[in-house]
Amino acid sequence: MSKNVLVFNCGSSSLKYRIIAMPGEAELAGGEAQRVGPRTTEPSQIIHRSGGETRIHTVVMPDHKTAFVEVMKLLTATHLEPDMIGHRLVHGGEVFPGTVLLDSEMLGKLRSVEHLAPIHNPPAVALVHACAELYPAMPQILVFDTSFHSTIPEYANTYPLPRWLREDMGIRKYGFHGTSHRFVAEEAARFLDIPMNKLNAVSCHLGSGGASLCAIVGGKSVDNTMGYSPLQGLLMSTRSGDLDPAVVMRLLARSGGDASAVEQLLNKKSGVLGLSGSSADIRDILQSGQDDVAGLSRTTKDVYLWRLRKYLGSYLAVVGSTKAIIFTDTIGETVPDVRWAMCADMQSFGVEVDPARNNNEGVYPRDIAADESPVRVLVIQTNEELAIARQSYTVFTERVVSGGIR
Amino acid sequence: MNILSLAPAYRSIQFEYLNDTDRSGTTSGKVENFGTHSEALATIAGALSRVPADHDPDRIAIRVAFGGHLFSSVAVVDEDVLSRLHKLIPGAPLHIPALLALLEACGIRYSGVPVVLIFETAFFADLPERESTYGIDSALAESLRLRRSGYHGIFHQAASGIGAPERILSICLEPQPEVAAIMSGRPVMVTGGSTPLEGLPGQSTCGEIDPTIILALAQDLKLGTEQIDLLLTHDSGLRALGDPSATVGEVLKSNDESNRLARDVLRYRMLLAVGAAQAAMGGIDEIVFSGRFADAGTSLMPWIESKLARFPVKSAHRIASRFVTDSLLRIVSDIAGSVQLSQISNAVE
Repeated sequence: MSKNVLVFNCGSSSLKYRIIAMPGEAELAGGEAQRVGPRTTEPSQIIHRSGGETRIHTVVMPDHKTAFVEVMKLLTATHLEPDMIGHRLVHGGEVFPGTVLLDSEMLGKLRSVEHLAPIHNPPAVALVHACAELYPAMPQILVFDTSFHSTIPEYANTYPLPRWLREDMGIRKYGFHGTSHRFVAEEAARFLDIPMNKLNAVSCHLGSGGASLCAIVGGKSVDNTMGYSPLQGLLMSTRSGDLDPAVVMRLLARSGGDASAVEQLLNKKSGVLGLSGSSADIRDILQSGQDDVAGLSRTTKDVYLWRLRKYLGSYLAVVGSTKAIIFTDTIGETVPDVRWAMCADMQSFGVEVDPARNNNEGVYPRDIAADESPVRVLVIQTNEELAIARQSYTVFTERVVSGGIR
Repeated sequence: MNILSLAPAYRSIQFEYLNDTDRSGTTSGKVENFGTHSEALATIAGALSRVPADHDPDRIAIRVAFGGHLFSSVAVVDEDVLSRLHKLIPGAPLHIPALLALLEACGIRYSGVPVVLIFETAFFADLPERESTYGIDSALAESLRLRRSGYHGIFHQAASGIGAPERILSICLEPQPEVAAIMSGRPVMVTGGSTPLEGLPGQSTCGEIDPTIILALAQDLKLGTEQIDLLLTHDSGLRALGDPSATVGEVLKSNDESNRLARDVLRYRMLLAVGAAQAAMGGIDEIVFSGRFADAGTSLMPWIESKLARFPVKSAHRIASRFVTDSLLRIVSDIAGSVQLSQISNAVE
């Protein structure tokens, strides 16, 4: 029996939603509430798609709860009432190692993970509370980006810091982008016609903002380049990625101990933007010629690609008998130069990309490896909302339909 | 040629006197908790006077941890070198003044004896920009001179000497271990950063961590930068994960449960570095172990080989291994002995 899953992907000032009929995976409606929160110069609005039409509704939405109520009005008007709600949460910490069906106990525990992702978690938690209050009988499923990474082994998730820091403060690698890495890994297994638990792969989620690589063994995450927070690892749009701890301490001392100033600096004014001084979008930098006087574009491009290449090598060494390298999200899907820079001259790992296949844009999913390459190189479109719908439907059928709790 | 080689550290100096006529006949030791550098040299001279083949050295070799951007090769001390060293004080406010005091004491006790400075950072002076640049604001990095400079350059240089194959993975097993990828004698990748704190975890140093952790220590625990520095350089690393007194060598060779996590974390971080190095060079021809715990490479090598043997390639590529067994001071002494004094340009980079 088909069930409609309403998927919410909550941003700091936006609310993306979709209704997906499961298990058929047809999208019935979707849209985005924009400029949710305090009034700005532009009006807040909902861009709503359904039945092949897109309409813009201007509505006042001072918080995510109001946005939720307005979205439900639009859905009810088109007779698309959900059977369940699936929420995306960025960080579940150690409290939520897996996907959960919400109950009152879980609802109470949610507050304790809010601070772990101070920009993303609080509005999402507020939304979960609003849904529970307004639709108490509606099953709600919480999908955490961190949960795919709960299988990272201890030797890879442990920072060599004193025990009290690791145990009392929960300082360890959590990893991020898990919903996307899991989704493209499942799609890769389907494409290669092997069971998920036989998939050994390196997944490269290269977004225009954040980016991370994930090492996957037997369908399970065994490492992720992001760490305790989404700051560690690759060079990103405005994030520095890896940095000498002594440099961080030096910046901290220089700011008179103002940690939030350094946090802003490393998260918002570093990475591609900080290095190039001109753009936060690596696509601008890759397209710009060698004409900038200081050579900053050249340096930015080289640093961005070099760090990707090194981490790819690291994870190929971790996975060992790799079946596939997966490229996904905006940069991974649409920029052949990035894939080429990462995979060229990697025959020693069993990787060889076919240049023509690499440049053959617009076909998804596709295999761009040369025929003789033992490792397949796949370009797969990510779909976090569909991933959430799938996980929600699985939990729903296991726990609700089959007579579990309710 | 008789060479006195010195490795000054904070509040201690290691020394080795190498006698020309009998290369194996050496006097070595360490002076600690000395008052002035003149007193320290007097102690060393006293130790040397007790060996039969006592001579004043013909040359003095000094290992210098930090040469910043001003020294890209070895340097023979003269007025110009001294003035350049003065310029490095802001970047190494403890090391450089101590070095200058030591040079002054050498000038008094061993007047006229040439002093050769061998810099750990010189090997990495031409590290490619893509490897040396941090992902932060360019102008800020430039003004604070924040760039990756590597740490164990002298060992890596010794690992990649004449006759070595093209693509070398150099694993330096010191209390702060470091992995470097060296192509045709030049480094292309290194785990150490602008300081030795970055990269692999050491006996008491944390290595690579998420920068946010440091900010959380400042924000949530209200720790000052000095407290954080002490925590990350003194109370972290292998000692925080296992036996607090175990060395890098002991941890790598250990099968003891108490050191299991420390060993597994260190080996795993090394595997990540090995993979990165292979990607950096397109392959690895030889793995070279050096440092005071180089012999632990005998335990590490089979483990690394077993990991690299899993790549799905048709013809398995055999990776050779080699051990540099010389001590740091012996390498320093050999470099100083091979320097032609007249040919030293002391050129600024």
